[in-house]
Amino acid sequence: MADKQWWDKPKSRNVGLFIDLSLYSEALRITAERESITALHLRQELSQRTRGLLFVEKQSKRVARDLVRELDEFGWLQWPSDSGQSVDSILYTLTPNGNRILQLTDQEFRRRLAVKMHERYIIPGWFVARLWKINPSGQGEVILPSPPSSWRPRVRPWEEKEWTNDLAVQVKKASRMAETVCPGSFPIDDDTWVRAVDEAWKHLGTWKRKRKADASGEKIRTFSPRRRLALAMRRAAIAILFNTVPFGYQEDDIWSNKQPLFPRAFTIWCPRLADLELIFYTDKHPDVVGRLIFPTAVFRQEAPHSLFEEVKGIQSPEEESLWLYQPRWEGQRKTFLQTLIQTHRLISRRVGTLYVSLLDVRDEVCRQLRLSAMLFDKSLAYAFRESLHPGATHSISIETDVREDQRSGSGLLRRPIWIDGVPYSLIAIGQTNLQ
Amino acid sequence: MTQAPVDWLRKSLVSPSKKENRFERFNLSQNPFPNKPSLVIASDRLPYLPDLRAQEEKQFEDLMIPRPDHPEPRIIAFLMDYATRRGRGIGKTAFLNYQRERIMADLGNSLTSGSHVLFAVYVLPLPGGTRKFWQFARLIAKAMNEQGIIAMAMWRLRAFSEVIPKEVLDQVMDNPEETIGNDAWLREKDVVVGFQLIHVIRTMLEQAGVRAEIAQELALHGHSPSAWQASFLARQTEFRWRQEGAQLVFDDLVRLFTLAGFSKGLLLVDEMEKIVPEQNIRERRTFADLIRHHFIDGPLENTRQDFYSLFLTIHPYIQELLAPHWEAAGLDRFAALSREFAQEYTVYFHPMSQESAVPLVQVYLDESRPEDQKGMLTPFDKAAVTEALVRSGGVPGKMLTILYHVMERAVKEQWSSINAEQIHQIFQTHPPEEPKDSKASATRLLAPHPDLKGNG
Repeated sequence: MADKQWWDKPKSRNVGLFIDLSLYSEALRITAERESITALHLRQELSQRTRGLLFVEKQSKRVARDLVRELDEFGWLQWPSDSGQSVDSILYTLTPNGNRILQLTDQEFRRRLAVKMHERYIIPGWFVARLWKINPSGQGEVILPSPPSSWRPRVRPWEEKEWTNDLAVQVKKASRMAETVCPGSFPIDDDTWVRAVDEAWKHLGTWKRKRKADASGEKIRTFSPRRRLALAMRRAAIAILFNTVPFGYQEDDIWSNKQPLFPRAFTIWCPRLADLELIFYTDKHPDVVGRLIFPTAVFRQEAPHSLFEEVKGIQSPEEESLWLYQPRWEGQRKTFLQTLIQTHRLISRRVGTLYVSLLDVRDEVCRQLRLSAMLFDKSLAYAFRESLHPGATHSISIETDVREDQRSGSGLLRRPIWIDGVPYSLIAIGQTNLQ
Repeated sequence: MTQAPVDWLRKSLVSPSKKENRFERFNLSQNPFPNKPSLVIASDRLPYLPDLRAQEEKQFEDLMIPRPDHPEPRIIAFLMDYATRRGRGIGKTAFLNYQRERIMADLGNSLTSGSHVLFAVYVLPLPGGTRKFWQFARLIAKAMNEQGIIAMAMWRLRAFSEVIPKEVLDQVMDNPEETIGNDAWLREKDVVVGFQLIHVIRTMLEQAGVRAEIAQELALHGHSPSAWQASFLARQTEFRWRQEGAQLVFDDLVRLFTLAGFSKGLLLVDEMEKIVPEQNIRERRTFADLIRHHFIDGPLENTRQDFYSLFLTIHPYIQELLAPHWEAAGLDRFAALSREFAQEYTVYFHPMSQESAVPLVQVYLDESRPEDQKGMLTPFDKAAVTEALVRSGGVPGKMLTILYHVMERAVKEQWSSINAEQIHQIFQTHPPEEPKDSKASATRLLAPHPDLKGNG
């Protein structure tokens, strides 16, 4: 065992402010086709895409600049020093490594991307290890609580910033709910927790008032206590759980003089890590009020290859390798089907309808089986196709209807289930009478 | 550059009957399977095989049809697929229309063992045009007129009015529209239409409680769907429909139907997904409340007599959307849309079985075969039909589409017969396979909570 006790200092903290990892491969492909590219041209050529169910017609200038900068830092793009004066006119070309990367399959590309991101930012490996450290007995399951859904306060005048007893009660209630649903998922004592949220709440109260979106241009006069408390709780939880010193420990586990993850970076890293199949997270789990996060990977010396896939290039300070939990379909068919059917039945009983939210079913099945969202998509595709064959004991029906809770707000950004390029959001399972 | 003038009087060169028969080698007059396997109301394009839906038909009768031993059917019931819908085409519309035709063939005589006189009307909501209940009522009124229900009631009323002599009624036979529904024909038979028949009918309707204006319009034009449409329905403003549309359908027309000797009307409503998702939450709640008011306990002739029975075709997503409002309106006590009693009010559509697939294919083949060769499955074998069924997920519409393409390919490639392998070529659903980059095979089954730090 090595003596090293902490993660290396990140080479950069300047992560690109976008979450769609397919932008990297598309940018490389476009560069290969055009032989060279600037951030300006790249922005024009990047295709339309969806984020959740939100249609994104065009990427911002900032995204295009971040994209070429990161690809340059990964060593996949290069530029001669005399190629341009401004950021947008620098002419990038593919490096030999960038050319090789283009030959990889989508999954191989994501694995390489995970390694590159870890080398540069350290966050991928550190975050997985930190989840395991927060809740070792619960296999890294962590909840960042939000205010209880039963709490519906009235809007307050903007100036009314003081911390009240009611807020403290809700904050404590939220942490207890998290601990009840998943023991060990929020191991922060009440005093520390309330103090941190109080501090964050007061800090948010110092923010400048924004102007209304309507034509009046007036400054907003009120705020939603619920929304502000949710934000304060999120900021406080990140500051406690994802700081340099793990909660409950005495010493840093990462070489950094700053908090490794600030709230803004946290919102970027969660979807990125989920796309890299290192974690699963959801803000809409039917039984959890807040964000549920758990790792779908683990640091260990060795692991069965039939169930795990080693990511070569990411190692813990203890020199353990990162292993992604990637069970093969044959090995997990029975468990997957059982869990899928049980979860569907449970939710169906609760809401009273045969067709239920596939996203809710996905979140719970992934939680129970420690699957990434992408692996769930693949597994469901297998299960669905098998259900079409004679002798299948269950009939599975999946539907593409866009549910009402997916039409606005955070629901719009919730990842649907993708099968053969089609987003699905409803599922029904019944006993089949196909002979 | 000058262009040749368009010959706007040009006619097609080949009449449909003179087209080359590409399917002659299979002893078929045409491709026996439809390239558009969807039902168009009032057309006879698709054969229907009742045995295919015998189970669902039995459930439908149990729920909806009054019989001497079962005099009180459900006021509201649902048609829904049981986790089987893998795309459209499972046959709900065909099923509804077949039930309508069965009922209308003898006005429910055989189904009710002569105990009731029924009618059934097929109601198809228009996308975006049926958010409010008054629009729903207007849709029902129009459907009842277009499908001749109102006219039929008027013909019966004329016959029961005692104004038309018996020897004239005997000449009506199977052609009521051109006889008892035709004022000119009646006049030829010396029936005094203007001053006697219409007057008597109007008085009968008014005495039954129909509003005077409606009674007048019905007496004058109700016997002809086109006349009633032009003189009454088309002239109603949206404001009037909003104010009085529901009263027309759920009070006036119920009194007409009762007077005409009908004991029940079945409203077979297809595609509720054209109504519910378009509504906002308040509209949904109001819609559910008004269903209760007009079908269950509002002060209307319909609720007093339990005259209409409502059969709603529920798309899976609609159940979830509508259920909270349905419960809030208290409708679950009368027709459970969700939870444990839902099955008591629902006809579930199951996927087609292998036993049903061969007869269905047979029916389509027979439609295009000479009389002496009916009953043969060629050019298919049973395995081919089974393969098409499995590939379509048990959905008849999808299976017919596959078979249509198979037949086209058979002609093009000059196949002499069609087996499972050829079906497979057409319908490119790949069997489950492992991703290419997976490693060694695994046999171990996972526990519900795999221990990632242990052995998985």
